[in-house]
Amino acid sequence: MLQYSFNSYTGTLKDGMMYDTGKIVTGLVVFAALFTSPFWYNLSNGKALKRPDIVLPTAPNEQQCCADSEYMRCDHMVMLDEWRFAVVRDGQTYYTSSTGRKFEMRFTKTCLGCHPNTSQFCDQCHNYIGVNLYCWDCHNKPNTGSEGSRVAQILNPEPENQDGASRSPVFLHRTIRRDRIK
Amino acid sequence: MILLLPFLAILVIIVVALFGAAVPGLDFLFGVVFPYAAITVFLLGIIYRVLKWARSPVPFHIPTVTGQQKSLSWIKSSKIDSPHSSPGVVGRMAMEILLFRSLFRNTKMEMKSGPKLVYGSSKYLWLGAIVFHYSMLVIVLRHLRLFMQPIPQFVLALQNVDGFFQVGLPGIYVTDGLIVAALLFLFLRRLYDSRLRYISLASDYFPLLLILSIAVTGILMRYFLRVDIVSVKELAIGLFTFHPFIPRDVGVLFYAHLFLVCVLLAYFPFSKLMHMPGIFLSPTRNLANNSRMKRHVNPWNHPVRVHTYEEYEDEFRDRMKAAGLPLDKE
Repeated sequence: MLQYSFNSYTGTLKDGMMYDTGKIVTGLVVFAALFTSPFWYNLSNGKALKRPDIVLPTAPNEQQCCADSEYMRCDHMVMLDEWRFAVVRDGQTYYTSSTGRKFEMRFTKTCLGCHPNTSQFCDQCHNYIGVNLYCWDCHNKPNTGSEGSRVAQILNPEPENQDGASRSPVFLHRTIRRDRIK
Repeated sequence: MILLLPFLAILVIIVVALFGAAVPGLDFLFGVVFPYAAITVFLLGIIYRVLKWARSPVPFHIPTVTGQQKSLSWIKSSKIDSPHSSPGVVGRMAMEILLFRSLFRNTKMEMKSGPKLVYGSSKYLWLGAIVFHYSMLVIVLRHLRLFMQPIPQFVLALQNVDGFFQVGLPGIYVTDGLIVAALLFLFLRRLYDSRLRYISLASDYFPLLLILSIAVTGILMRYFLRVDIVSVKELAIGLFTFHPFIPRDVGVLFYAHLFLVCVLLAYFPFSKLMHMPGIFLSPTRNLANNSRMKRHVNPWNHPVRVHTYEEYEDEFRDRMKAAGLPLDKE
């Protein structure tokens, strides 16, 4: 009647009978589908998979960046963070590059001076690798329509003092508060 | 030796990866061949082992329960801790898989001065385990931003939650700190307790150190020795679209990270890490405690030759009749 031969070493039945086949196969199919999801997700979309093209500054505007491209490619956010710290905490205004040139530590003026179109430069890579910037949560984004750029002009007026003491709004704010304390 | 071996193994893996990244021409091997091989071994290995498990019969009804069994209507039964129905079992399994309930019930025995034997609740293992596992889950899901194009919305949302504190640039992810802390705790826990150290094997230390070194190389690449992340995504997308592509200078550290992950994937089906599928197939957890309601028969019960009373009477009828014994059939 019952003709199983039990292999006591492996703990399995030699005739290879499977138990709960429905549940096991369902579980394995779900697992395999989830694990391979990047494959079928990408293959079903099948577009915009190449490296994003960023628009680099061209002839009239072209000049040396404040650091070499190798550094900027990987570490630009560190420089921006250091600049923010230097301006907001230490009240410094200028950054001296390794080539000896002086750069004003202002993103909207210095960085966007050469790379004015953020959607063709910053956003290209940021969107590609999913970087969520929160710069524009507080600051006005330049080149985002007339109202945006007008507000940006008010916050970052173009003419600057002769001594180079052009100040970010945050710095001004701090100065005002200091005066008040005095 | 038990501790030295995993350390040496990790060291060798990292050295091999650094070598592979340094020697021109080997980047295709480390960037394309090994990842595909590791993914294949991981997937097929797990399927093979689960199918093999499914062939092992579970002859005995062996749920281990921690609550009152369902019996008489006026005795309150524990529906989750001693489930008698499928929904109860699903609830129990969900609590086991999502909340690690067994570990939460962990107790520890200690000899206090007196001498006095004390049993107490010990939640540290549960805490370390759940912090590690959920951090790992979040980190794996966060990596989908490099594997998928366009990036799914939930991955971006998860990134925002994980980077909630917005400390520094690039922003610190909470799970990066948590996973290292949890892994260090789980590792030191095995070293600190002499009894635990005694039962720990190289195969216990190795996965911890392997995942720790993956986490550390990842953290280094994000916060300290940054690599060109756009090239990294290019390579990943190349893999996941079957158009393998090795971008120029991705960075040595990236190859170490990738090779460690490949080793983890390939090692997975042969290791204790198989508790991932295994938890679903634990007979002590996934069976309903219904042995008072249902008869469970061992599937390989040997057909026993029995000699029924009728046959006995047929055999000895004449002699029984002669001896004057009562008979069922005349």
